Amino acid sequence: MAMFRGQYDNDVTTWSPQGRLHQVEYAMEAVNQGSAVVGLHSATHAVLVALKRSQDSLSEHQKKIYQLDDHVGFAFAGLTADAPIIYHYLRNECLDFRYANNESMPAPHMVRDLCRRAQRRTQRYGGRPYGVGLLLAGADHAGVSLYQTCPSGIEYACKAMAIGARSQSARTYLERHIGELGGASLPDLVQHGLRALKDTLPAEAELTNRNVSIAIVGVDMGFSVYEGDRVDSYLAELKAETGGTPSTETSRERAKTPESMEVEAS
Amino acid sequence: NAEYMGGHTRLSEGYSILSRDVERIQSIGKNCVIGQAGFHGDNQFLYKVLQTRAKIFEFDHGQALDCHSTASLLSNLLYSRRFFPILSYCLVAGVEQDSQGQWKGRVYGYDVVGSFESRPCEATGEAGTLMLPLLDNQVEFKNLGPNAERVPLTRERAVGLIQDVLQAATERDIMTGDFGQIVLIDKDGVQQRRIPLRRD
Repeated sequence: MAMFRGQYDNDVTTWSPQGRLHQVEYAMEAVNQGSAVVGLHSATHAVLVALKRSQDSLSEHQKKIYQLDDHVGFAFAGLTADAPIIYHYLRNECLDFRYANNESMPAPHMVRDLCRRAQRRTQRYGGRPYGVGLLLAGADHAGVSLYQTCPSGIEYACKAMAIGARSQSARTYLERHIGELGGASLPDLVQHGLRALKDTLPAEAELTNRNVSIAIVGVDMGFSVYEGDRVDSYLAELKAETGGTPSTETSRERAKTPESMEVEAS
Repeated sequence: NAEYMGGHTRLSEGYSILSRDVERIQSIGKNCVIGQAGFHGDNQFLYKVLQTRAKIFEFDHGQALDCHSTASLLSNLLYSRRFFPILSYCLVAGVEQDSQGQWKGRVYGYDVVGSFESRPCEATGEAGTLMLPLLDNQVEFKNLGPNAERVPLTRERAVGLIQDVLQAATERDIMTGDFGQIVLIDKDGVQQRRIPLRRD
């Protein structure tokens, strides 16, 4: 997708005459190049579902979900190399907070901290913004929460969200089912997430236990990541619903978006 | 295949008692505990640091610290403060699997700068020297005559022995007393018991 903006896009500290920072927008575009991740929550649980990519049949599928502490973790989309950097930073913040305050770091606090850092990188010469967007899910005494972060440094508190390649289809699914999420049981919540993720698949692809990661956290349940064999039961339940028509919007969108370069982003 | 650790719960300063209810033995991971004597402030600090490091290990390696790894880590932590020591006299006790998959109990004793050694039996703290000779005799069967009874160390015997040494120490040491905290560690985890001790 050609996005040549001319002379105002060389570094992040240059404004365009239209009042935009093109480098920040390009960074947000990098998020769209990564494979989709979906986040959603009910009153008691938050779920992250991620589509993992692999370079080729020899490589393992790339990790998409990171656990930060007992009660919080994130899924990311975008430049793969940036994710562990953010992971190590946030993990240390969680450890320090727990050490000093004797309790778990609340997710909103963490997100604000990260976004302040992300914003600084949009205002400094010689660097670049983060190339990843996160969906951060956490549980604390106030309940469960889901946040989206952006290379621009904006944080969004969400009921449900999807980011990454072809994520619009997932967002459409989530918008359609938003009313059902608040009171959903945990198994239903996971199924909603998987159905939303399924809508982001390129043609001919399917969800398998090698390319799907699921993470669940709840008020009474620590953050746990499910991969490989442990997602089998969830995928089996998804498959069992043979009914359900794929939305026509989805098929149109699939036909429109070409398969993007999969080397750097996942 | 199991380890036992006992401690007392009195915190004193000079001739005063600051608390009768201070737990000196805490868990690290599922099958390991650390007991600490010495400066209480440093004990608390050290335990927090050790807990944090154990968590980092778990995140980095996807599995909890083994007993011998915890012991090593503690040694390094203590030595890193070689020139401003953490005044904590530690004992690390736990069970771990050997290369054949058998669960073995281990006790590690330390000095304040991290020198450590695995021994069958160890005691530390003010009254450590009061307790150790009795343990040497009854656990390691040291200094027993050829005809003396060598009672094998079962769970009941071990717990009984710990209670006895705590009581003995309480009788003679002014800083020991109030409650005894007895911890049993085996492959299934850690269990705790409390016994009353003399409060004078």
